[in-house]
Amino acid sequence: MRTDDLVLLLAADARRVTSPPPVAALALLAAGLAAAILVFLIGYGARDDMSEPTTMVATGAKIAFTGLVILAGVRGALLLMSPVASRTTALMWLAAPALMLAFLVAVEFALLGAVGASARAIGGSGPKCIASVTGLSLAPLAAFLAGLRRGAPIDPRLAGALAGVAAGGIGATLYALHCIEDSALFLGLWYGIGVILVTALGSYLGPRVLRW
Amino acid sequence: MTISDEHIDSAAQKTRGDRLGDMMRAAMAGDSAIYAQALKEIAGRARTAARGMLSRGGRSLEDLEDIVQETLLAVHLKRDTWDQSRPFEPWLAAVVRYKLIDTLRRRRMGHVPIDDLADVLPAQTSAPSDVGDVERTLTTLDERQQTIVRAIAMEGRSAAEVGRDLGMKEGAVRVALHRALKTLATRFRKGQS
Repeated sequence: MRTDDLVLLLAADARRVTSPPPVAALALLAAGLAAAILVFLIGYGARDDMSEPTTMVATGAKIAFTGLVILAGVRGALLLMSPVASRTTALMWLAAPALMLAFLVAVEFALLGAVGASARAIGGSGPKCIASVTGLSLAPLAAFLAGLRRGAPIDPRLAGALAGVAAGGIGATLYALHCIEDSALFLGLWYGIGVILVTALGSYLGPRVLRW
Repeated sequence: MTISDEHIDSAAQKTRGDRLGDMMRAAMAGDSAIYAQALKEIAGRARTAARGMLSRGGRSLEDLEDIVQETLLAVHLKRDTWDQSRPFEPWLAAVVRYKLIDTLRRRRMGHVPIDDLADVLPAQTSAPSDVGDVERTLTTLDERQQTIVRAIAMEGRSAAEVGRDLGMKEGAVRVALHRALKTLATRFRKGQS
């Protein structure tokens, strides 16, 4: 086929009204989120003492962090759907959850002091936390990556990694509703490892599924 | 689909501005005549960029048109990642650059034997062949898609005409065409490693 023929072919496909790529990606992410919520409701469920005021505050604090992880990942990955996006801008948002975690740790030290800090950090359910955060994030990761295929990232690895951050944040948020560990140190350590694992998985998959 | 005078005027006013961007805005509003014009210009840019990169790398120009066609397909399929409120040129430059690097990386297949070079040299005085890989990839489409693609591309027929011949609605022809283009782009990427 001559290039001029290809031009004719593409011109014949000019009129196509589709949803903007970020909207399409978000729609798929929402489907992945729904799947994760279903898994959460069947396999986990909210912790028994959720109605206690102290529990609500502690859970709210955890979700303030994991929610910002989701926001940073989603925002960055959507930005990178454009080939002219700046990588720095896409990464900048990660400062928000990092600052929130630092704040929560500072509050915990102010309230409880340094005594027993390492015991609080290690807690009693670290490995289960990692496995749960990772497991709950798999459906959102797959769905979000599928949605991001509509994009044209010039750095598919970074786009995949940020999709991993978003999905890891979803897994962490859901598990935070179930998990009875309320220490910010535990949150940073074990949830952090879970999110980092999902991020690594995303950056492994990115170049494989997001190249165009 | 008529060529809109309005867009031509604004294009003429801004020869140094975002002229190609104005054409693309008209194209994305559904003006396929302007779109064809814009694509030809984009093909020219991609050809220049690809030729420069190939000759700097001391490689033969035999793949040139394949690269141009693959870049055009990418521009077409990814054009909605361009934010129309921004200038088009930076977006185009990023896409061309990405596709050039991507295709060259995939085509890096050892050294070119001297015999091949001798074959290529005389051809360079005339225009290099512009029969690209799309032709080879076409045969992997299903029969109906092939018929549609050939009728539109080589016989220059419209989707409506093709639909009448095949007993399909025009919309169905367009959907089939769009799927075929996506398949071509994917096969392109995976076919040459």
